[in-house]
Amino acid sequence: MKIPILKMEDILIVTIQSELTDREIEELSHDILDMINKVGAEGLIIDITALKVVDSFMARSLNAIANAATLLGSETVVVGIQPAVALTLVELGLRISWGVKTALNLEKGLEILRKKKDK
Amino acid sequence: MDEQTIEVRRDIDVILARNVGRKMANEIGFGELDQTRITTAISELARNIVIHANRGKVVIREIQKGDRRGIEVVCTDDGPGIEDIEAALRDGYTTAGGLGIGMTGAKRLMDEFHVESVVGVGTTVIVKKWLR
Amino acid sequence: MAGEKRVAEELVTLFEESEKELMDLWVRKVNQLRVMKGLSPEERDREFKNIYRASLKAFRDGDYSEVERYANKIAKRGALEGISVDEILLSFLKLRDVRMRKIFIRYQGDLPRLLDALDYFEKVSNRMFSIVVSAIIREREEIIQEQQCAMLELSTPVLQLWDEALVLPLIGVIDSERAARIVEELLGKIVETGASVVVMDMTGVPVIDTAVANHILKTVQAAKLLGAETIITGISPANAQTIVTLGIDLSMIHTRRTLREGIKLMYEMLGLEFKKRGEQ
Ligand SMILES: Nc1ncnc2c1ncn2[C@@H]1O[C@H](COP(=O)(O)OP(=O)(O)O)[C@@H](O)[C@H]1O
Ligand SMILES: [Mg+2]
Repeated sequence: MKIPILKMEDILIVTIQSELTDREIEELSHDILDMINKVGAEGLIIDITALKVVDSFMARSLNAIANAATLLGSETVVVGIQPAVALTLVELGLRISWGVKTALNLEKGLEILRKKKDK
Repeated sequence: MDEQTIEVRRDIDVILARNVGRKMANEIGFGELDQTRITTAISELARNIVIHANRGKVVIREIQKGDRRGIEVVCTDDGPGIEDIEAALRDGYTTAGGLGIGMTGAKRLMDEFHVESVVGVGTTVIVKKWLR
Repeated sequence: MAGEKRVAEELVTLFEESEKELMDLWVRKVNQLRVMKGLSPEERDREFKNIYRASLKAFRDGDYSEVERYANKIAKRGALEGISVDEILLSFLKLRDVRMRKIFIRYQGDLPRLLDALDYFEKVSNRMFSIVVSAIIREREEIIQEQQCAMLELSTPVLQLWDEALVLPLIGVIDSERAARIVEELLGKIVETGASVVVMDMTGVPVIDTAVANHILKTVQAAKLLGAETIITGISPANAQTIVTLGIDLSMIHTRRTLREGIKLMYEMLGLEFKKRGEQ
């Protein structure tokens, strides 16, 4: 299933709606970076509200997407991490390798990116 | 008591295994947070099979000890085995460019963790979590 | 201290003026807890009013004798009638909550006075709380052993100050189990309220072990994943030691010595955001 990438002004919004296979994650990553490049997006929001599990593989993928997006000039915020998922990620030992900005929800994510831009 | 086996070969089987795990954890009576912990641990271990051993299986079952109930996940493969188990149980150790927190993370997320591995023969990881 | 005198008077006036409102709120909160069912409504209203007024005396001129008298009475009755320890303490804490909330609302626009009021309020409330606890302990020396669990499991109030700010005053002994529950509760609350700053005050926590310190650290990290910063205040020297032993990187945690300074920092954090938003 192709995951739609929404464009809002100069921000891209990706809403992950179901558990992804590794192949789908890879594809998504590719699509996102492609799109950033094409439209010159300044911000990227990945909404994972629907994810009830985030394992280290998914975390690493999100991290990789964020890093690459940043390199292309697009700041990334991951939004919608569920409380149980957040705590589980911490217990899993994520902090060792997680450098992505996070926000509670889409609105807060947009707020962060806008604020950045105003600076 | 309930028991289910998931053959693990490809990444999509990882999703299957954790869905079965969540459903069972839920039926046993684990709360949302513990369900997430259990499902995440299953995801890590099942993925290790796919990545490091190619193929294997995950058996998930309800367990009981006295009046305590819980869940047990047994992940077996006949892959290459783990050469240095001690190292594999250290945060950040990976031989495949992963984050290296799958094994240690699963250990932290569950109540009991047990690994047996023979080089050239295969690996078995058993984890358990008890209902509080 | 002359300043304290003024604060005391202001608080007493505030609590007197809003007695009806706060009493209603308090009774409602206690009802929601489904505790104190042993008392008839009239009896409960009467007892609660007595406590409310006795505590005003403590706030007015530091005279705790009335509070002590009631604490003893309640402890005795509680023991006699099988009202559990946590029922009593929870009910008492709820009064503290409604009042604290009132203080926040009253002084919202005036940081210095808010901080003064909080200082004084904390001081008197803590003293009263410890009076109640000691009375109960005295009364139940023998059965306390069994009930200790119940007492430790006091629910922890998560107070919402503003839209984006939560305060979590931790009180009493925290064991691993309670810590785990607090973590869950707090994370749920962050999502529910959309809070972006949380102040976790540990002034009321005498000792923590490494397991609990670990829980607290996990909370900070998980909260961050939800987009909220945590400020920890009131860490005792002993607790600081425990945290250090864990080898935790403290640079990622905001700490302040007192709740007062923590709230100030929170204000700054939010204030900065407000300013920026205003600039748009
Ligand atoms: N089932 C397995 N078969 C063989 N080797 C394994 C298996 N599971 C784990 N390992 C070894 O243990 C290391 C650590 O595993 P893990 O903590 O999950 O980190 P990662 O999978 O990110 O490398 C792996 O890199 C691999 O060398
Ligand atoms: Mg792994």
